[in-house]
Amino acid sequence: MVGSIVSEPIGRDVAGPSLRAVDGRGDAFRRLVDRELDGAYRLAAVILNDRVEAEDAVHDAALVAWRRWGDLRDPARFEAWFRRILVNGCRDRLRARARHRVVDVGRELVEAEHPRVTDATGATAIRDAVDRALEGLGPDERLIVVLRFHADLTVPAIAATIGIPEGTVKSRLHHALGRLRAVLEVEER
Amino acid sequence: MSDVDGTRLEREISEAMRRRDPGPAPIGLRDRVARVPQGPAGRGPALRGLSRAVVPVLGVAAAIALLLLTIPLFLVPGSGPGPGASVAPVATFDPYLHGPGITEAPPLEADVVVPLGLLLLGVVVFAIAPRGPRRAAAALVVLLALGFGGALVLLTHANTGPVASSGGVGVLNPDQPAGSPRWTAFITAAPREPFSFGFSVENDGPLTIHLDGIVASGVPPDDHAPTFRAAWTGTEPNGGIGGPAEPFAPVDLPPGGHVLLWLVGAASECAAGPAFDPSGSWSAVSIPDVRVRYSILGIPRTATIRLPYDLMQPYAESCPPQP
Repeated sequence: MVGSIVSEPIGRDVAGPSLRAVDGRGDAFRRLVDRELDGAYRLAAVILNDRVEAEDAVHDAALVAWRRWGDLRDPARFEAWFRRILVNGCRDRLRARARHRVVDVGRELVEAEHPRVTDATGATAIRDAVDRALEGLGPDERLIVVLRFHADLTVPAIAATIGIPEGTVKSRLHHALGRLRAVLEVEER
Repeated sequence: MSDVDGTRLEREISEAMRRRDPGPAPIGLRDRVARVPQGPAGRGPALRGLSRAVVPVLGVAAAIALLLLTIPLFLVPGSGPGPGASVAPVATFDPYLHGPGITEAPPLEADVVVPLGLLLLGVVVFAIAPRGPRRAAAALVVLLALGFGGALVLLTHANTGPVASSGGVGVLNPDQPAGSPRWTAFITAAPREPFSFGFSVENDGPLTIHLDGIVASGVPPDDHAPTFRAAWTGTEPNGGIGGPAEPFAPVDLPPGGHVLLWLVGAASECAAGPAFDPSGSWSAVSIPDVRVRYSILGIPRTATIRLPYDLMQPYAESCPPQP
């Protein structure tokens, strides 16, 4: 047998298959994220009560999800998986916000110069009181309330999302509702 | 006082949620998220699975290693007799052979391994602990462990350990060369023949130490360097070869306590032997110090102690013969 040297053409697209594989994963990721994007943004906005920060939170969650893309074995579980990443990110933001509490001086000045006219039924006052009470909840309590009443999750699902025992979810939910109820009762006096 | 029932409360909360709900995601966010996969992709399941498998194993290994290293800390330090206590003579003890009291030095000291183990454990705990209170608790435990380990290491280092305070020689020719502040003792035993010398090991630290033995040799064994074979204990001034056959046994030394050791060695293959003349030209292997193994608070350590004289073994320069 006569040996021969086989030369490869210069510039062969050796990276082609791997690039296509990455693109395939990227497309799958985009599809899944796009499907959940509206819900994720709304959830983050309700949790954070800040639309700009909610956009950042969702973007950060997408970055984390892409970095951990290899962890997701079953695409059918993407929704819960991505929600867990998002909620954890929101919790970090709430905790950071608690450490660096921002006082909205502008709103106080506006209200001082232009006092609100109390409506006859007191509905506005009650709404404001509920909003303030929600803002006053701790990060974990606020997450639980939002996941329960906005995302309509069950207690086991909330526990799985936040990563705490179901009993803790129940007790914190009970405590949070107690605080909100107390605020409502004060406003209705 | 009004009574807000559960239905009313849930309705108010749900309405508050709706007020906060911004609706669909804005186009800008959609574009930002669509560009995310252009960044570096995450590791594949195989690598993630591997790291998940390896990290807990590392954690368990670190915990076991740490446990093995720290168990002695809770044992009573030293089980040997105190200084002065007699050890039953062993009739078959032959000081010419490898005997008790000569140990090998470990490649790593416990006071190095323990902090490294704690550090590894800390890294592993941080890697596998979930976020939140459990990670904070893990951090606290690791900090306490590091503080404990650090304090222990500092404490053992503060104890300066054994020192040689006096000495004597057995089968040697002591001499003090002109101009030298220290005595020089020459080993004049014939090749492979035994020699012995004595020195005192004293505990000048604040804690009781447990003397475990002498490290085999301060110099690597070759044709020129002598080897240590056995250690004797006792206060017999002419111990060693002609002294009481009292083999070394691990001994506790309280602060200020001391023990006299006689170390038996064998001259090297190329030793100059009894014909050595210190007034002429000579070459020798110097043994200025001896390393002893001891433990303090259960932590084994090695200390280098300076001999009270410069011990030298002259050797024939023509040995071994070159081919």
